[in-house]
Amino acid sequence: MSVVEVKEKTNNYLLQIEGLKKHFPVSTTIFGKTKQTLKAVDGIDLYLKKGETLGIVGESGCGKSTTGNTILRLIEPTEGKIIFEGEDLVKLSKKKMQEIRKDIQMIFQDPFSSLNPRMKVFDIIAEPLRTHGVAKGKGLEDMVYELIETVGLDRSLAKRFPHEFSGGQRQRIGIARAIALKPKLIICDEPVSALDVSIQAQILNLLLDLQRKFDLTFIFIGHGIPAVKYISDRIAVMYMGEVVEMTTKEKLFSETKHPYTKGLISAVPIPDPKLRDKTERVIIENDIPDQLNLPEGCRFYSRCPFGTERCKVEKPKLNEISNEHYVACHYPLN
Amino acid sequence: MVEKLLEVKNLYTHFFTEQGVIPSVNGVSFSVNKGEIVGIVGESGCGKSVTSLSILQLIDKPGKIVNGEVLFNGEDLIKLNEKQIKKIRGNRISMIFQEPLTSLNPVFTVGNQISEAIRIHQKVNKQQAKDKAIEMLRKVGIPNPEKQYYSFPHLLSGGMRQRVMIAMALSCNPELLIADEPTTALDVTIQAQILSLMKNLIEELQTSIIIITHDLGVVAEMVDRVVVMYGGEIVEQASVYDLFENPRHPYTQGLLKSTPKVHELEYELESIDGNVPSPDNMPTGCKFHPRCPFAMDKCKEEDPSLLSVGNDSAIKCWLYQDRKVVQV
Repeated sequence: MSVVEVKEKTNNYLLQIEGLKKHFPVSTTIFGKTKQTLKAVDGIDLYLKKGETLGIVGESGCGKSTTGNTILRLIEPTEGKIIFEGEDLVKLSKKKMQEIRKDIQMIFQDPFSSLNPRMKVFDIIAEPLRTHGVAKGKGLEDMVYELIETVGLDRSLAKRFPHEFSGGQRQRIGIARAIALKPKLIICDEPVSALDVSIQAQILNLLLDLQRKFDLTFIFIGHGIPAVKYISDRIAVMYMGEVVEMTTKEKLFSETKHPYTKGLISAVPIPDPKLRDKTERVIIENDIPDQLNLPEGCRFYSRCPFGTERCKVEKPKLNEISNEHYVACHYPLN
Repeated sequence: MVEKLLEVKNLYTHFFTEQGVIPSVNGVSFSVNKGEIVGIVGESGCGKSVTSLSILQLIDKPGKIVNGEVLFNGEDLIKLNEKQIKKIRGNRISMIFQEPLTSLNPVFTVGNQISEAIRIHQKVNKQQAKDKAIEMLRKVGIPNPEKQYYSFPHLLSGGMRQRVMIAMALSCNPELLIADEPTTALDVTIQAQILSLMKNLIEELQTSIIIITHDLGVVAEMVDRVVVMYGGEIVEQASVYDLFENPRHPYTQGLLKSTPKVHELEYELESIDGNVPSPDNMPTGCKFHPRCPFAMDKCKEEDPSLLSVGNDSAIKCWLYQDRKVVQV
């Protein structure tokens, strides 16, 4: 489905996030008196179309994982709307949320800590099917074995424990469990970051295959820009709790508008030595400022090579500057 | 004539655990010329870190170097006693690690730790050591070094800590710097800062470097020559341009094809089948044969040797063994 078609049917959005905030209270004295808040996610808007992959990329502490966790309400949001198929998840009761979790699944970064070490692979994958009463007995068995094969594992491995598997195989088990209930949305939180390069490619390609096969919609959270670029249709770049740029992957790389995005992309080393001196490199200076004392204006101001007085005092809003290209910057790049 | 600064010859480092002997490094030979940057690349468990720790005799029990030579300016480091090797460590060969927070002592100021390193190896008084430490902090781009000299490691960000580590490592003008995944724990914008800093300092100080990494992007950007390791062995060696242009070993080819590219839009990412072997359960014959698309019967039984294929390149693969080549 082309981008334009989807745009016309706006109710084709599977998920819409409006003004989502998650503030964590942080005590600074031992008596817990002066309470400060860490604004991990600070008012973000996102939308997700059926069948696409939205990449969320950013550096540590930018709020990308918190965003993922808040969608499933694994962390309760402070403010904002999370509209999934027309229903605001924030307002749902715990019981109803439990039902929705059938449709939204998650894949985690660390395949070593996200699988129960005391359960056999068969039971790990069968658990969601049992919990939601999808199948039992022979039917359950068939489903689990089919899932095991779908993710590229051998069915003879079903009776083994997670510690007997390598990182890549464990991630496959996690994926089998995530797709078991035929969810509509899968949130992948850094699913390849802990894996070796040759295994990363296996998992990325597996996710793409499964997406085609089961018509899945993905949110792919990552800090590795090349991997996010490979798998995503659209990408949102986050910086200090905010979305600074969001567009199709083609535009994000060829018509980069935000200076942070530019710096982020250009910081990635290119695996081709012939390009090492040819590429012009924008090095973003300094470190991320103190997240407990957020600046009043643009949060990127202290590191931005183009910052002006206006940027220092006035916070830029996320604007659509061309079709489906959103940027939060007073002076977008040309 | 290029001068060899470091020559590792036929190095074997094994770990003698209760579960049996784990051969982490198995017959590794490579050299580093003066002023050269060599990259050792490979995936987890390939022995790249153990190789680098073996160079400086930093292998703890139950690990042991069972065979081989590490010639540094012609002198075999393995034969040195603890006192002699200490004179080299941190002075003529220094090392930086992946996680700067665990390599810095949390109860001393960073300045204190740098001047300590200087005072151990150089005949200077306290004030001179302090001046030198501040100069190094300035060199590595730490703002306000006079003040930051008194900072404790936990107050600094990851990037700043890695700068401190680099300052400390370079404070005695080492001839060789071993950097073990120096930017892996850092965010990509900070990684770019550190890599560019390292490049500038190397040029200024004429230090030779061994960079150990799993990131082919870092390799392409930084190094002159690449050593590819797999399963505790070197499978290919070549100049960086040669390796990326004309990868010979099926593993190197697979590794390059499975690396996601930031500068390309539409392409098919290929992966290497199977799993990374663990050092305690290595396949017979060529260690890569279970994952190799070109594997022949011979590969399952016999281990090929690393042979020179000219141009300062070497390869360990049966596909190349019948050529007229010289054993390394």
